[in-house]
Amino acid sequence: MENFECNFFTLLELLDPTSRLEVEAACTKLSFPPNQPVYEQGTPANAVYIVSSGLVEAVTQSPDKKQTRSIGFMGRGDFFGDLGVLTGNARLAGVRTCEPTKLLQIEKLAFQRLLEKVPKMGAYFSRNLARRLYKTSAEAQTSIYSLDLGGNLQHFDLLTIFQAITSMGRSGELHLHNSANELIGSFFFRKGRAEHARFVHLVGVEAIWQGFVQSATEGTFTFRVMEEPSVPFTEENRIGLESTDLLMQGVTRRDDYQALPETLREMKGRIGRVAESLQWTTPETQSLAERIWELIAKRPQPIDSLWRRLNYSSISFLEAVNQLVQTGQAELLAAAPAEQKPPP
Amino acid sequence: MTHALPSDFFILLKSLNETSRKEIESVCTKVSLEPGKLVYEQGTAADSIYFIMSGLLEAVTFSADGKQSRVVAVMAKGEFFGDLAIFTDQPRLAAVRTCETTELLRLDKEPLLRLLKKIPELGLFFSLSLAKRLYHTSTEAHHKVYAIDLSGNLQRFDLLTIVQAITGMGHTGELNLNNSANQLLGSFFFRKGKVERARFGHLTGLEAIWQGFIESASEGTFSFKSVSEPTAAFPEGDSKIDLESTSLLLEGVGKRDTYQGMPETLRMMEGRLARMTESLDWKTDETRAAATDIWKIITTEPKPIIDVWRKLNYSAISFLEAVMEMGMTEQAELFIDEKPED
Repeated sequence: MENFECNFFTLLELLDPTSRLEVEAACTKLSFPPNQPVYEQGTPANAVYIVSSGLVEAVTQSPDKKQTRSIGFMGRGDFFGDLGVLTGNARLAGVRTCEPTKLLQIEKLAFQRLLEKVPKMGAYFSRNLARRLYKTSAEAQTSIYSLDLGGNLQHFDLLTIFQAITSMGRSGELHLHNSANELIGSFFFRKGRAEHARFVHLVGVEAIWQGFVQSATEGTFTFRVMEEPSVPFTEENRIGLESTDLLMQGVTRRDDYQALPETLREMKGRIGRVAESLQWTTPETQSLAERIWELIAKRPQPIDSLWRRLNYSSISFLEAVNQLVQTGQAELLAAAPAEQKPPP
Repeated sequence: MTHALPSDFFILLKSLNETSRKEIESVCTKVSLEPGKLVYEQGTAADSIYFIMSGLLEAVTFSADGKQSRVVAVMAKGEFFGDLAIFTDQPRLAAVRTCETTELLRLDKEPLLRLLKKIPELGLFFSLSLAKRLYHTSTEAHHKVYAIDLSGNLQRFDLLTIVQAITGMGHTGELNLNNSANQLLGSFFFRKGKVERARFGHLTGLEAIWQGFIESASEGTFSFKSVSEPTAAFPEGDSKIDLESTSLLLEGVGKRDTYQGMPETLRMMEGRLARMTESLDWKTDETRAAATDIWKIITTEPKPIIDVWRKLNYSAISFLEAVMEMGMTEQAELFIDEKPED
């Protein structure tokens, strides 16, 4: 659209000098430290804000306040708080600062007066709001037609979702998002069979085990029917297990994980060698045990950082760790003392 | 703030000074449309907005493959539409068509943008209207994020699979099925993973579930939300279900297979059902109730089988099993009326 700028400061420059002065006079400058609420969800809307420097985040909360979702970030030139003010409704979301932030605040009445006096303000807001509404409506439309299965991960775990997709024999992609709306997992199914998987830092079947053992996490899942994965996966990480085996082994692994001591599941502390050389009798975990053994050759290592360096789910990894300890070849140690600062 | 300005465009017009009003009126064109006429199509370029002077219209969206559609809004006198695509320079999000004889006032993009810069009330009017709609849409989206625990496409995930997932997680809540026009097809209430109440089409109770299982590949959507008590209206008594989840799912699979194995003519419920004997002699316990009820309806004369089904609270599978058995025991017959020759 001709000359349309989303940035408030560009709009200011487009105004005639009288109008510009009027808008500037209506603005109050505010400074916020990081991580400070600008306003809370559900409170009356008394002012609109413009970010002049820094970054803020809009977050919504569930009615029981147990769940939160990040709905967007706003930087220099962005407006917020206009919806509540224009509609006379309570704040839809809470807004907090992410870093030191400077804001311009326009009180409700002053804002109304500006809209009535400065036609370009009304034109600006009409376009700005239309743009946001168009985006929201287009997204809602896409989700109606292209979302084949979706929901809350806290209420439907990954195993149940896998079961549903498998029993329908669907081809498509399953995405998991955390509460900050970041993609944490991606699984591609062909005719109901999981073919490729990614979850946190893991790929392949270990990514699936990880998803199964930690799936009651806060977040959402979406499944869309498609013939080929939207993100390419490498051939070597293709999953070879049949669906029934995958689901059955998944249940077992989840139970095994639950049975592990909590201290181990938390991955606190370090693991160090006790024996001179590795004696291993379980072929399935041979290569994993050797990798861990190698990594702790020189000195004990923090368990969680070991896990992050390997492509094994926490259940596979911790079973090997547990076995190393149980067979007396390695020992668990308390976390390393905080590093001493070198003398100046 | 909302009270400052009317939300009806024609009231706004009256409230303006004469110069502004005349200026707006001079660039508007009156358009009359018959019922069922398209004002514009989804995906086309936008060059006007429309104010409704009289009549009724609906906004409809279509899926990318054109196979699915949804009515997203119904609009009447005083309301306007088409502004989103104009203000964003994007193609039309939805198609709009008339439901009855309708009179519109058309305002083209160029004069609209020119007037916006001159008449502050116009910008304020659109800002308020857009803010209201965006607030509504955002609240709904917000609500959906937290309140809907499972949702999806019924063509891709059938009722049996959905019930299995809810049962497996042991949830308490309500499952609603909607058709593509967004009308409620059925409701199911689960308590700790067990189906307690059910409605589907004209059926209630267990028979509603069987019907849902056998016809579930229909176009539409489902959504499940956690609630501690049913919110849908379930009739007392006969909608209550007393079958364990495992038996329910197993029997459901069995019924679906049996239904699929029936001749298509029977599944289509074509023709009329007529008695062949004086009284009913029934040996099978499971179908006795259905057979007795059917028998009563066809006492005086043959009845179209589809009407008989609609009058009774039996799923198509329970109903047709009884009908088939009547046929095999030669107590009733299904006949298709011959078309009169020219």
